[in-house]
Amino acid sequence: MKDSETSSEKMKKEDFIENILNSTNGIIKINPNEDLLSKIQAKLEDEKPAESYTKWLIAASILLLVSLNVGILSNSNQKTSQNYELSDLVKTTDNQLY
Amino acid sequence: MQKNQFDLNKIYQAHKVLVYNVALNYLQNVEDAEEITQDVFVKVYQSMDTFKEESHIKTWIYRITINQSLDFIKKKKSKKRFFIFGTKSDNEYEYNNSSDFEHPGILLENQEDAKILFEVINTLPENQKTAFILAKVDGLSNPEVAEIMEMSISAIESLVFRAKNSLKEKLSNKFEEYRKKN
Repeated sequence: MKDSETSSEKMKKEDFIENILNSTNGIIKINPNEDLLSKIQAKLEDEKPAESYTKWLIAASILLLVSLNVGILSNSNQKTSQNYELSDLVKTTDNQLY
Repeated sequence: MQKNQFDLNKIYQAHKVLVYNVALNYLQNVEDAEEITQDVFVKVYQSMDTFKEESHIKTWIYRITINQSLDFIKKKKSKKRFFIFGTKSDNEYEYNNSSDFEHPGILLENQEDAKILFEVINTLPENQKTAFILAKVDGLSNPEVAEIMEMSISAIESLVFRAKNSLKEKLSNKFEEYRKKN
């Protein structure tokens, strides 16, 4: 008697598990809302200006950096040539009184 | 593929059902699945230049959808942890009620059983959950799942087998709980 009870319990448990595991059988694929595509397009449009703004910002930063470097280099070149001129002057001067 | 060759509308029409249903099976929330669908197509558009046509576009879109869904769940979990000391957020409410979700694609007579199934699926490790959802809920073949998850077919078979065993064990415990209650 007890054995038949436990086997029927076991059967019930197995049925319970099987029913749940098979509950997705015959699942139907659902179509998303029709306005999703327009929402996606709006999201992409929103991100576009930010994207181009970032690109311009990077380009402007590089340009500024390059022009600053060029400026500094040409300034230091001028200074060096001035220094050369001065040292040439010093070289030709023999500190003798005529 | 170049962006100028890319037709968002065409790709969207061909893959919208795939993306939305995978997200729905993962997140068990209609609004979240719609949000993920939008994010997936934005990402697909933005990363079109980097798409190597070594894999099929469908496989690539599957991967993006799964990754976006997993990231979304992680974000929700971290928000839940953040609010655990504060007031309850709307997200936490939704998250706790995910087991009440009625999947719109499930047959009416299976709705109650499917609620329990999704509740238990959510407790599986990430890889097992992905393999089980793709193979058993989405109905893909093991080679297809293997290609999406970039694993061998035998690894997928093993993942699905372990997922099924784990689900059986958890459902067996649930059965005991129900029996004690009634």
